[in-house]
Amino acid sequence: MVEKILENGTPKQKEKVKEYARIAGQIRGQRQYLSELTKKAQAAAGQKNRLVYDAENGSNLPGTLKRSEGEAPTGENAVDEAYEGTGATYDLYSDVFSRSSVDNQGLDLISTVHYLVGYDNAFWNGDQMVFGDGDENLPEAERIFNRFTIAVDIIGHELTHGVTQYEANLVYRNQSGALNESISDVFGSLVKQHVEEQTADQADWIIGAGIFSENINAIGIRSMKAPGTAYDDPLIGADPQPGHMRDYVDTTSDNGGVHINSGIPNKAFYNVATEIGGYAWEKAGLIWYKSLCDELTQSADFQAAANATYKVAGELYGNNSTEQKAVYNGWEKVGIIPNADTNTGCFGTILSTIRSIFGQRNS
Amino acid sequence: MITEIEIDSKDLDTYEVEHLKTMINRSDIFNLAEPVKNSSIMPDQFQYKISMQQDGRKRELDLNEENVPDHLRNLITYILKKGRKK
Repeated sequence: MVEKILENGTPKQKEKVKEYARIAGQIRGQRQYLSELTKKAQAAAGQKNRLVYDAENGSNLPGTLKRSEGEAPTGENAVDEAYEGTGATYDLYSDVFSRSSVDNQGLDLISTVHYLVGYDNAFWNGDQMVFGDGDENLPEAERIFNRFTIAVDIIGHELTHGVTQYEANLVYRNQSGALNESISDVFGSLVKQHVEEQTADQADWIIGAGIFSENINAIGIRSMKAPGTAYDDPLIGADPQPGHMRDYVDTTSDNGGVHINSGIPNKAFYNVATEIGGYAWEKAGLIWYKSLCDELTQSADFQAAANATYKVAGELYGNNSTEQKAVYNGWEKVGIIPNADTNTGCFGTILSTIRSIFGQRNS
Repeated sequence: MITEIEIDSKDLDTYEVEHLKTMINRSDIFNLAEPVKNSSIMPDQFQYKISMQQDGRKRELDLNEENVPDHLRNLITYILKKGRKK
């Protein structure tokens, strides 16, 4: 009808229709804006919004939308695992740490599955998660990796890179990079423990259980309980992670060993969580989370992390509390002596290093 | 996880040597400019270190996943496939 009037109406009628169209457009625009604001407000208020896309074996992100928040399972493993895994990660951060999504502002949790062909990896690209299918395009006998959505702790690991990005923003190189990796392992493992309702002594502390196919001699990609023991196979080599500062690996590869030396703070967290006992997310997890958000800086090293967690444990549970002693012991066992007085200061670090060397010689 | 894969053309059959030579020539690896590295590294992305020797020439390249030139991807895929065979 509008088209007819614009075609055949009098100049006055045409003008009126244009005016109505302009007003209607404004109202539509306002409605859209209000709808977007409502969505943002809902998200900020703590509603999770998961979106799982399919790259259909290409590299364009995010790809084709396959499942949105509240929709029923699709029956496709990778899509449903990404949906459930991101939900489990959101729930840990929300229920335990009162955090609203990755950015604490209700950011949409976007995942893309089926990225490229034979892609043996998963990563956080600064905005979303990306998951490869591993070797599921190959005959079973030739596979090294299964799909990367298979392990909920891997999903928690990748999303935690996002949390770190919005908090301490640890530089992804050398010790700060290894801390970045370790924090992703810590909260990835806590996501799994939270889902399975496991206490610290019940958990396996393995990162990526189920990622390797049965052709490989491996229990996962890393062990927080016993760094360096996750895999040993002629095809992929042996797990190179150290679990103590005396075995620290000086290297330029892997951005200065970020996936290697992360074994040291991983073991420290395991030590602390098992000494405190109970559910690891309740106390040890809270100490690490608060340290990540309030204490650590971009260039923090292992010593700074030990100092920060020791300080935070004192603030949360009291100086000389069982929890603070557990933090001290946990770091000491990996060769780092926490120093509550100095967080990142040079003198404190030197003093702690001297104490640490002295301690090692007498142990 | 770090894996090292070494391929020596002496161990390859004639067809594979030709295939490898073609890929190396197409990649122009010996004349390739040093790829620009992003200052911020994306966590968990692949990194490649390629060392190549051919007729007395040597070349080493450090690459992040996002700065691999298109004409090098085939060569990298080939190397990774060779490394999968026990």
